[in-house]
Amino acid sequence: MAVSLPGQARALGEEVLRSYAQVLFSRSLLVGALLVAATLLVPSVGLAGLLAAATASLVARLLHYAPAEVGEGLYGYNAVLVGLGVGAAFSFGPRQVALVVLGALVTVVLTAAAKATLGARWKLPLLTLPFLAGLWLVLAAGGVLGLPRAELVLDPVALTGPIDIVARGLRGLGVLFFVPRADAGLLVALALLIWSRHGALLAGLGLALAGVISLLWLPAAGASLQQALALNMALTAIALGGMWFVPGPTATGMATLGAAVAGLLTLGLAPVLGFMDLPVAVVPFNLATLGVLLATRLRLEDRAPKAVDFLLGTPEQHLHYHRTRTARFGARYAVRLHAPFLGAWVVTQGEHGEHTHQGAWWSAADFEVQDATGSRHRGTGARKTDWHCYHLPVTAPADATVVDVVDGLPDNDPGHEDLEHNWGNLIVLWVGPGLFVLLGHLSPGTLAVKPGQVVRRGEVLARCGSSGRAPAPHLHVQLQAVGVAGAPTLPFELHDVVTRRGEEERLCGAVTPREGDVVRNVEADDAIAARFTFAGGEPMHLRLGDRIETLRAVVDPIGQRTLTSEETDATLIFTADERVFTVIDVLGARSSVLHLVQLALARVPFEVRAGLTWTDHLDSSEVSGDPLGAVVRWLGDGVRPYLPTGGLEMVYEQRLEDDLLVVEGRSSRSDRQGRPWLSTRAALHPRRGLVEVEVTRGERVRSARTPTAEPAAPRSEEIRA
Amino acid sequence: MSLPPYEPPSLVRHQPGFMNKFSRLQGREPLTHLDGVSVEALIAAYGSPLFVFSERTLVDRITELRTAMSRRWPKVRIAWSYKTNYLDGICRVFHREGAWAEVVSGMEYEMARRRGVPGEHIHFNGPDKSRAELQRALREGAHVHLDHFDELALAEDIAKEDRTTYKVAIRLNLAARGVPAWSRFGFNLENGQARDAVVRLLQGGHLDLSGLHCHLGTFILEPSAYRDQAGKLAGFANDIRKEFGVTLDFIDVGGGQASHNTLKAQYLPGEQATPPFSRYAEALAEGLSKLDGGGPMPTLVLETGRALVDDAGSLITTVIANKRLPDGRRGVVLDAGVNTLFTAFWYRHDVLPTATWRGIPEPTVLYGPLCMNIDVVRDTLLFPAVEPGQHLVVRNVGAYNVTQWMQFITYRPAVVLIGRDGQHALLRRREVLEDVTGPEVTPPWL
Repeated sequence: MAVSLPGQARALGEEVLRSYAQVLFSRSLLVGALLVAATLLVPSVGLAGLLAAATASLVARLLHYAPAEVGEGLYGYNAVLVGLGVGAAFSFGPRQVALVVLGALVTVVLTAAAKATLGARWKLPLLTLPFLAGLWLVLAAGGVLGLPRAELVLDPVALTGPIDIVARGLRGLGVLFFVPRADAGLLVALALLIWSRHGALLAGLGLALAGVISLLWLPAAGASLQQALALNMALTAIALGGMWFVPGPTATGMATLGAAVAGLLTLGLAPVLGFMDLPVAVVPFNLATLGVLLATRLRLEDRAPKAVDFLLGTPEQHLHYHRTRTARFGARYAVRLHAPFLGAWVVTQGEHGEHTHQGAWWSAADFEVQDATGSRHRGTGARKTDWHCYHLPVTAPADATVVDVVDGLPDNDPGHEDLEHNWGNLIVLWVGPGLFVLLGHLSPGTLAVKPGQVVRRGEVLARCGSSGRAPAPHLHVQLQAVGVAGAPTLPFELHDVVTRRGEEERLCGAVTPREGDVVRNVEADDAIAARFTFAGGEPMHLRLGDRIETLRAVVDPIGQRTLTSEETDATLIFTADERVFTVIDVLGARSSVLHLVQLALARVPFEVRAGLTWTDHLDSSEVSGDPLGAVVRWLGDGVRPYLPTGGLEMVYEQRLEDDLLVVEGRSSRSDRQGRPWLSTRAALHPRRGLVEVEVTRGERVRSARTPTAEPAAPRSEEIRA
Repeated sequence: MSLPPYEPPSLVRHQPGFMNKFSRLQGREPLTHLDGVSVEALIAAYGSPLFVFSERTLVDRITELRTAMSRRWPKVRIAWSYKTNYLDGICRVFHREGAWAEVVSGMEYEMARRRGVPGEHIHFNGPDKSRAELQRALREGAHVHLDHFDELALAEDIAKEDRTTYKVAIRLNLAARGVPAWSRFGFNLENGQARDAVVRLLQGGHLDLSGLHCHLGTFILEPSAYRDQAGKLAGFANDIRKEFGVTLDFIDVGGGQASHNTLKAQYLPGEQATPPFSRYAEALAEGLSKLDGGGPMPTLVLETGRALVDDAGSLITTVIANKRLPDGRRGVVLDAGVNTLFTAFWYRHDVLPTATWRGIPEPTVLYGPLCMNIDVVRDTLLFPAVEPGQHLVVRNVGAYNVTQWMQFITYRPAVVLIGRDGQHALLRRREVLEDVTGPEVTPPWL
């Protein structure tokens, strides 16, 4: 594979910057550049760091580690710190340079070893453990080799008075990069702020706690101990409050606790390590963070604070992901459960029902069928066959494996029940880890499945009956954590179903149906679903302003479906099952039209029906407003975890306009003129795919169209002519 | 307290052929309002005769059909049969309620497209499709149902010309218990012609098979015929899946379900004889359950027309005169005849007076206004005495009348829709002379 040399150099440069940024959990080149600048304030230290980063990059490539991980700086960041450490400890010379290179090399190997054990085996983050091992090695080796010690790094100008208190905190940040200077600390603080406002706030919390401890109890301690205290407490606060737990009040509590542990460790370990002439460095941060992560594994419930169980990003991204997931999908379970029947059924007993949904079985739903007059049976309902739901098909709510089947119990005549066999004829399905569905009161002889059989969503399993404790034919559905019929119930939930409550028909991402709700699956229309193959993978051209962007639907090797933009690096990730299209997220360039697509087509059922609406929750930060507001929002990220969800509720509906499927959305929130704060419109053509997307925010309209679909407006010259 | 008017007792001779000697009107009230709107007010506003459609009934019927079917089959599509009633307003109501269009001619295809129905939402049936019409439909993604081998060859030729592969369906005819086979449409299943058509279609390499279609007949009162039909279609679908690996997108069972009208040959009135949609749905689902599982199930397509629209239409007519026939029966002349009410040839329509009646119903013939002997709106029925100027309502006339009515001797009447909130508006105005003479051209020598 031919790769150009400038390209290689550029890639190496980016890797070096990302290696710096990774120390602050960041992938940003700007953050990396600021950190490099901070270290270069003391050139001997800074250059040693750069040398180590470049060495680590090359070594990692030579050892054939995953290019994506190398590119992210994941093999380099520990080496960078070791290089900086050598630069700060020993004065410049050929042996010092050799030690930097050797130290970087060893640290890369240690990083890989740690990944293979801590990471792969125990699912723990490496943090900066490889750096600690590497640092102690090079320091000891340098001492044995008798390398001349470097001068201590000091502030260029002596700071006194109240400003010194702030400077102490900044020096604490600077010491992370072996430049314990207030100016370097300021650059690190800036980098931290750019990476994450909330992260910066948490760092401030750690520094403040450290400052209080220093002032109250350690006024006479040396600067190095105070700096170590500040650094470890700040790092631990960031890691626990924003990186491994979803930011919020409880996560901040956890951060405070962790910082306190890190502080104690610092005070306790410093004399021990000092005895061996080793710096305490970031040992307390590593031990405190890993300790808390291990300790929380014993929790029965993963909530308050909620662990970050998705792709690691910035604290802001963690909060956004978590809130979006809760608001948009709301689901307690990973499996999407559709209604286990065909057509519209009414809930006749919901959670905490007056008849049987009580005690350990409090959460369940009974379904029946009612006609236009609201009656659930013909005539007097004296015969079971008079009941509308009797012998209607019962279907699989999700792809599943049958684990238990009971058949052969007779259907009761209306008014009679079989109290010995509560659920009557039943089927228990395993739909996912720790999730089983029980379907009860089925009609004898209609059960078409055997234990062990694999069934697909929508497959007919049996017919509705009145066996067991059922004085009238109905379908009983409950969720369980184990596959034994009649186990205690889990909270009941259905997903992507259309629910009519009163007059309003609404598609719900997740819903616990209440008594009286009419529930049905989306009645998917092939011709609508076909539009979401997006021109069958052919390119779609959209003109946004004076730029034409080419979008294409792609299925990647692991089956993830995306829309990709050829002109930018943006990717829209979506799912499309047999009934609903859902955008999961958009990554990449903010300028891409895909961000508009996300707003306009967040979720679309494959059913066009007058009066059918659905809601979705958008991240309002996707919709940039005035620049001042943007700055306020940017800074507001710091405290957003403590504020109620700032998401934007959107209401969507769709209709056919000739060949085009038009999906329109408007926010529930209105602006001062009474218009929706945000409104969207997208049009899909059966063969050309997406041909129009428009997002209106106040006066600002961002509209992208297929160039050919644009009305042929006369040019201004022609008008003049 | 006012007493009811005195009526002297009378003896009535039993009439052979009637269900009872007191007429169908026994125990019934005069029909003074349609969906809450007074008949008198409608006539005052729009004139007589007048077709009146109820949007509420249209919506109720399609909702009943859809819910009955969708509780028994996972994917259901209703394609509104245009020929039954292609008035714009009626079609719009059904399309708003999610129905696709089923058209049987280039004209109907154009009507659907003009209303903004996308090609993908049209099923194109019928034995007569011109090359241009077929080409347009294929290019616009419509579901074309091939009726004969010549059409198959034509579609193939178009696909060759367009250098692409088009998806088409084939229409079949088959024998189902209790209904006469409509063997003139499509390919016969039992004699192997249908299989020949599939082989021919697939071997040509220019067409893909997307669906099967079969229309059993019309006004089928026996749901079990649909179980036979769906079962045979499912069996054929299984065969072609096994033999050729073709998985179908849809199985179209046509229409033909009965409305609440009463056929002339029928003894029980439609109110009692016509099965609810749920019984048709049960029969269809039972037949389709013979489909082999594994893989996506085809969409069930229904091309229902009459059963959706017939009950929603009423014809208000005015009594012109009474006369006594030589055989003793009473004759009533109405202002609407068979030119307006074409279905009078098929049905014993249910006719109701709009005013309270008194006295004994007697054998009566309802005649139209035409100067033609055939113009009988309703052959002998037991009917109370009515006066000239009084209004009668003919019920369940929504299907086929406003498409098959004739411009003959009189102008065709206005058509009105009553909305769900009791509002009403014209769907089609009463014709004027210009509508009749407009297309005429006078040769230069006359």
